[in-house]
Amino acid sequence: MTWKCAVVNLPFGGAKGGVVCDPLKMSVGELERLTRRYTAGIISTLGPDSDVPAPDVNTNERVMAWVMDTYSMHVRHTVTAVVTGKPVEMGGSLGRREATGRGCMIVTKEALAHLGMNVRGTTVAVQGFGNVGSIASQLMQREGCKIVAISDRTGGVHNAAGIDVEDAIAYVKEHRSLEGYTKGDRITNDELLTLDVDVLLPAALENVITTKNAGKIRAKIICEGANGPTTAAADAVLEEKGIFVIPDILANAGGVTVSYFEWVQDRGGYFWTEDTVNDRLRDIMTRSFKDVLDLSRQHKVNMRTAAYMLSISRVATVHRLRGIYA
Amino acid sequence: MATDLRLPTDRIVRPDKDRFLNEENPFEAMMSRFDRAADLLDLEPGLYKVLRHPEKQITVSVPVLLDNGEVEVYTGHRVLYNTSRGPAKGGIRFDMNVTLDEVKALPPG
Repeated sequence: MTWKCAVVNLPFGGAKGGVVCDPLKMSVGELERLTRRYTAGIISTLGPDSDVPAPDVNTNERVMAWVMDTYSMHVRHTVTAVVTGKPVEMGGSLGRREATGRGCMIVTKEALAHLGMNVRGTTVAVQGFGNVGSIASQLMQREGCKIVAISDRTGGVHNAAGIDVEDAIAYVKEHRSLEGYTKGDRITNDELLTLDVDVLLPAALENVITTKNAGKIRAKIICEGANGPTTAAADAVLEEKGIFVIPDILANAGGVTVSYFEWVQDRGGYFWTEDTVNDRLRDIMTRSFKDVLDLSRQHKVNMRTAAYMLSISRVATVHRLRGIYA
Repeated sequence: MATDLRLPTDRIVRPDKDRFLNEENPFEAMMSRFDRAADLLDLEPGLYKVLRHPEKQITVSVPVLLDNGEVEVYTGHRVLYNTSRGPAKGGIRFDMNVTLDEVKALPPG
């Protein structure tokens, strides 16, 4: 998160953590005890001013509520800002669930404008129909884009006339996956990546764009909704083909940006409307896109390299100012 | 004869070697991108070293009373990469693939 937070200029560093376990084989009670004991174990690093966890693989709002409660019991008062991704009823932020997908939509629109392409009628293929993919599809469709393909772990659907995203979301809500969704031709996840579309949005797994398929990608813009969907070796292929890649540390930073808003609201004890959250998210995403684009033009490098240069220089500047404590 | 104090290496959980040697290694991908950007920025070698080391790592045993009355002990980690600009921010995952190497290797993007 260090680089992602620095790209969008949030006053945060980076951390990662977890417990080795198979949560699918555990009961809710066991998961609660696991969460609480783990929280107690790492409590020396936790705190709104030192380390603020968030949900990741197999953890959710409920787990964050237990982390917040355990920490609060230890310090003897309620501290909502110790963790983000909480339920809205206990210090969570409006708009957080949609934030990553919304951020993807915002930077894709910026990229289209930069390349002189019209938002209306832009064709989009979206891999992954979870929190990020489904929301990004929905919001892009509302902006006038035509979502021609979607997929999840069970495979995908292609419909050149456009997929009704709201209808697909309702289907997934009922059937839990896109399996059996018939409003289009069935395609595989691999086939989705090489469709003739304007925008490709990988929003599922890492390492899906490799040297094996990068040469066959026909999209003009790739918006990396997932973390690490492109291998380092594939970067060069995409660059040679002139594909405009919005790198993950910029494209999916909407999530951590609204986590930051959650932390700010908790600390201020004053909660914003959903419109305020969305407006401020748009400001940060568009400004960050412009910062990265300016740097990429200045140094004649691609957007990914520019994003890393921007974030490293921001972190490096602070280290130089603070110095090395002897 | 001196007692062998070496770690029982066969019991240390290691990341999948193949994954770390082929193109699909997120840690290497992040690092090669980091290195390229650091190079273009002409980042001073001392600062480069500071940024490539996590600030702090904690490993804890997590004993849990299971519903069947037995106790299982899990292992938990927390790694803080960098807090120069503010509090550390990052996810907590519950997964079989969480080893300290893996947590450290997760792209600190």
